[in-house]
Amino acid sequence: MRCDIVKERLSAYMDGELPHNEMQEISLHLEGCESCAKEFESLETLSDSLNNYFEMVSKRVSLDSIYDNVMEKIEKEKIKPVFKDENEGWMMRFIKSLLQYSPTFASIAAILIIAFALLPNQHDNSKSSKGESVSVESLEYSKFNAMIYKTKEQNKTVIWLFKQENDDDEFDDSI
Amino acid sequence: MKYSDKGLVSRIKVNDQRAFKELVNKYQSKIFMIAYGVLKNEDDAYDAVQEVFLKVYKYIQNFQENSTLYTWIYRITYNVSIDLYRKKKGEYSVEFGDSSKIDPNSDSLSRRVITPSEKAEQKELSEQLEFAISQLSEEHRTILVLREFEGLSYDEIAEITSTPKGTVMSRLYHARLNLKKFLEEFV
Repeated sequence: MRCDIVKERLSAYMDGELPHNEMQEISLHLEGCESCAKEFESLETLSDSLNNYFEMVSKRVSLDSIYDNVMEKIEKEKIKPVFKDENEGWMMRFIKSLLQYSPTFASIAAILIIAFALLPNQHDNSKSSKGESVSVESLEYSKFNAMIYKTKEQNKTVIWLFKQENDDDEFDDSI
Repeated sequence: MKYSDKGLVSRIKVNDQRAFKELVNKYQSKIFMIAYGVLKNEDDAYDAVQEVFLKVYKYIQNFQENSTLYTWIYRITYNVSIDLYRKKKGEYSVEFGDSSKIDPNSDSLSRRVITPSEKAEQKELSEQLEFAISQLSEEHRTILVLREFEGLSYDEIAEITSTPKGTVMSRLYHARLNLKKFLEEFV
């Protein structure tokens, strides 16, 4: 390995962050190259000096009152721990993140998720994984698209209406 | 007594205030140094430490234990410090290089007994280091603290600073190279 390449990698070599074969190659090079060995030595000295310096800085400032200050602020500003909604499934989080990006895209994703979740292998008039018979139809009109989702046993119908792209980027749904 | 991070997190999640205090004591100087690395100003770094613990208190319930606590805390520290740095960027240029606050008698410079002439040399070196570090970019200062003081791996630094590992390697190389240039007469 050439000296200029070795010198460029001495920093990562010192940190032990190079692949094993490169570590070996540089180690061998340092044994036989005085110039690179000297460079490496100065890098190690720099590292020691920096470590001592940072240690010194960390000790010259008193942080004893940090806890009391933080607790005082928590009480004063009535800061409460934020709990994640454990009941919120991955689907809802996914749809919420999509909603921020595009409501239309999110609604399509929601339909697809429902369709895939309830109709794992079939397209219409089929048995869902829970034993429920459902049918899904899609209709296209000039200004909007519709998707109709029906369950037979529970007699439920979900109709999703999507406005076309050139209309407002919002959607309605009704049950 | 030293508690494991996992134990501390579990206790804080059930509102054990003593565990939160233990966490503050364990991490405050490490957080301070990262903030100081970014901000290069003790008062602002002190404010950043408080802000970090407020965020830790607020969001620890959402901390996923598939990540390590310290990388999570250091990532918060880095983000809080960067935000503060951007807000105060204009103020810092005149404060850099203030080496008057260095305590030349600090025992932390070395664990062994040092002679008066060595003490004078170390004082000089510290002052030069203080000045040289202040000349580095905020990115280079931060990466040096994360590596040299915190002893973090390149992977951990990459996670904390949201940069690729190759960038971490390159930044460290250039940070050390630049620092060496400033210190050529002393190192």
